Amino acid sequence: MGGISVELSNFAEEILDEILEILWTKLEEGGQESVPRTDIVVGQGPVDEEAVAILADKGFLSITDDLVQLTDTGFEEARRTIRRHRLSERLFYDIFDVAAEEMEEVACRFEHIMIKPGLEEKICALLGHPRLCPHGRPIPVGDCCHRAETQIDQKVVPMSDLRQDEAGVIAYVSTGDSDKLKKLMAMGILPGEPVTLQRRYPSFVFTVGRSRFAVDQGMAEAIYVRRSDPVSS
Amino acid sequence: MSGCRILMVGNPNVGKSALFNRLTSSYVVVSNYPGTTVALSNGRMKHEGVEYAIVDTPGMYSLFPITEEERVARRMIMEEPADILLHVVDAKNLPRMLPFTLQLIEAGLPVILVLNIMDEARKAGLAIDAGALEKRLGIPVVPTVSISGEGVRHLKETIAGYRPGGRRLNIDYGLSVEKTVRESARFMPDTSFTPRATALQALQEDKDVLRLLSTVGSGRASKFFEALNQLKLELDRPVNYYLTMGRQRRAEQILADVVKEVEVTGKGSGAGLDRFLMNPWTGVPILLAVLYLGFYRFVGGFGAGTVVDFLEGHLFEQYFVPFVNGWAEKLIPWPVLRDLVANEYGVLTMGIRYAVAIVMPIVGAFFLMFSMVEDSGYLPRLSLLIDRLFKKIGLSGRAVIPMTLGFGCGTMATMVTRTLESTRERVIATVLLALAIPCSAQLGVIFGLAAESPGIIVTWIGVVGAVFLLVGYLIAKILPGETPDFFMELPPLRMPRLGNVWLKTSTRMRWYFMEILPLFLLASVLIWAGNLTGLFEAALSILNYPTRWIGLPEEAAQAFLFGFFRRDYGVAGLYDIQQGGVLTGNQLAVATITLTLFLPCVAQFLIMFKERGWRVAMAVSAFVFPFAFLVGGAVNFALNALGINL
Repeated sequence: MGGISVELSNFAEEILDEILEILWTKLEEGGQESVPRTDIVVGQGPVDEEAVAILADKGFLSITDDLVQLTDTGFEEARRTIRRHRLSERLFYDIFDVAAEEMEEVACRFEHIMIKPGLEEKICALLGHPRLCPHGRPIPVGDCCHRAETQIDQKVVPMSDLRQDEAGVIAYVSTGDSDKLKKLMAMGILPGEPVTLQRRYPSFVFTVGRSRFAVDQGMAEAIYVRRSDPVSS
Repeated sequence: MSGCRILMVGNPNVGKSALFNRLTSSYVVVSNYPGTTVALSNGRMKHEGVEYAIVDTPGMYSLFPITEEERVARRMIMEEPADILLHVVDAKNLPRMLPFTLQLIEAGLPVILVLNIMDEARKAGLAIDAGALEKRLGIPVVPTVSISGEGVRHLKETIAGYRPGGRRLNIDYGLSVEKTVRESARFMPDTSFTPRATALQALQEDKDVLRLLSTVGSGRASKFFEALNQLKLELDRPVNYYLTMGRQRRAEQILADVVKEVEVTGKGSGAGLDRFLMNPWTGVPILLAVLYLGFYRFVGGFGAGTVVDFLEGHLFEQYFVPFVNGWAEKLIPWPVLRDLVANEYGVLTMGIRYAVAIVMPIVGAFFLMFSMVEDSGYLPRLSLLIDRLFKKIGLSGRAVIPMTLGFGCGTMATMVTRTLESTRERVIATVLLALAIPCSAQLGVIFGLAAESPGIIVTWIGVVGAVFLLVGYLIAKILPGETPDFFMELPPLRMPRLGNVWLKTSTRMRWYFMEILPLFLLASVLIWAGNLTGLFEAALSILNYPTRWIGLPEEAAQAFLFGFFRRDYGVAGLYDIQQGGVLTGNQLAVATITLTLFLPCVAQFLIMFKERGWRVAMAVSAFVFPFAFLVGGAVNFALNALGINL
């Protein structure tokens, strides 16, 4: 990766994003009218005057009598930042099995990489367009989420979304509950294995190799399958 | 080698138990569903004058245990090193089974790979080059068919000629994992695994290894956790994923041209039937048909009716009892001792008579039917059919096996609840078994009692079924914890083999008699002693109150009291009263319902203590006793209030 200057600017970006996130949670989710300047605390440090000034310069904030509000563009920017942050939390929590304490820190860094065009949508699709972050707070909906609702031809879907007799290849086994993952992997339900869903009700019945398994809805939702012939609507 | 100790391990459903029976002269129950071997089975094998001790372990998928029984098996492998480890696999599923073999070899254990069920592999069109596999793995590989005995001789010779040592096998799990494994291997506690393999277990946060690790000092443990957390940050997936995939890749390389598909055959002949079994619209009617034919007609009609009538009504009533009573009169001058062997509560005239003439035919019929059902592979289908319903009462479809077995013998079933995953599930299953699942002995007599009136049976099924669901639902609400996951491998449907069914039935009967008959006799003696000391008199006078309160004659109190010693004793006691023609239809319904819900028999009670601990056992008893009478009273009240005469 780049030199010191890049890291420095990344660092500054991180602070800007964090301020936007604080404002979003207080204004949008906390229902506050405005936020006193002194309430904007990044890390343990005091109010970052410089960062607030940069955001105001960009036209994201309006400041009256030490009370801070988001402008319309600032609101939109904060929404996207929150979305990237909570998506990366989901990513690290669900797929990379990073402990909850460490998740926050890695997610904070990772959300900046997500600014790259297309990446955010890809990750959102990979995670199955999640609605909530691991803490249970809502993830703002993106364009890709709307599109996914109208199209059925998602390539990687939970096994619970396959049709009867549909075949595919296991893409990954995902779950916040790593016990489920261990059980499935122990039984040889592994990425790369071809699967065919034979029944959806009353339980999910599928074949992997020459073996057949029955699992419940919860387990079927944890197995992500790459469809072999995606149906286009 | 003398005093050689052999451990058998492998997935569920690979014919381990059948092979165990082939190798040893003893027999353990073999079935077409996971979870038969709940305890370790010990046996001896003799080959050319040398004796070997063989231990069969519960089925497990990998060295990472999921259920309690798997944990038992894994602990055996890790903490009590054996001289030889037989890894038994299903030959037609080699790609899925070999990673576990690799895991065992990698752990530095003395492994012989047994490719079992070769007949089905051949039928599936697979040709397996065992010689090539042997060379690549560096361990002996023996193909067998445990059901027919094919290859068993070869296996015995291989065991006799086995010399430990040989090639080491290290799987490459990728740079980051390898680095961490090397670092943390130094901190590992001693096990029968190599330090590397122990470290691999620890990296998957295996509870047993972490427990061992904490005993060797907190300094080493904290260093390990530091390394593990570092690794977790470096990896993009859980550690477990890397290890599993590493073994899987290696297995694929090894098997590349070892397994060849000679011909591709169509779906098995059972495919059509299988669909019907798994579809609720057809599956439920099939279940009802199985229950009607199996339980009602065969166990109830044939076992409890025809056979009991012959043994009890003919042989015992007409010949055995008068004969014993006559001889007792002549030979034993003291009436007290005479009553111990003969007359109303004698060991011979009551203990043996109940055990042989009433209970044996019924339990035997049940075990025969159950063995056929389980041999066919029907139970896993039933599990998936019923999982959604069982989830509502805090169980998963997996619990179908102990629950169904409970209709045979609640004691055996309570033992089998070990195959359930969480303590919560085990407690719920234990309570329901104690409360609302009648054992075959009870069931047979109940069907016999109520044979004249279908109304009694319908009332009985309705009330007991409702209690089962309601109590299950409420316990699931009260007990903290999560709803269990349901996952189960579905073995192919197989035509039950007569020999196998017979062996299973006779083994279970043998178990039943070894465990249960002494208790029957003990119960006879206790009842005799209770009568002698007046203790029963006192207990009966107390029990008379709730008995009268639920609208039953006082004689029934005696049946309840005896029912405490053995549930089926109680029902059999009712049977006697019914023969006397004292009970009305309503009373019969109330009596059968109360007795079914009543406390489990002594044996089940003891097993409850052993498996669940005294707190659960006492809590269950304290709940069941008043509850049984409460429901009985409510049914009596409802029937009378509605003016129903059954």
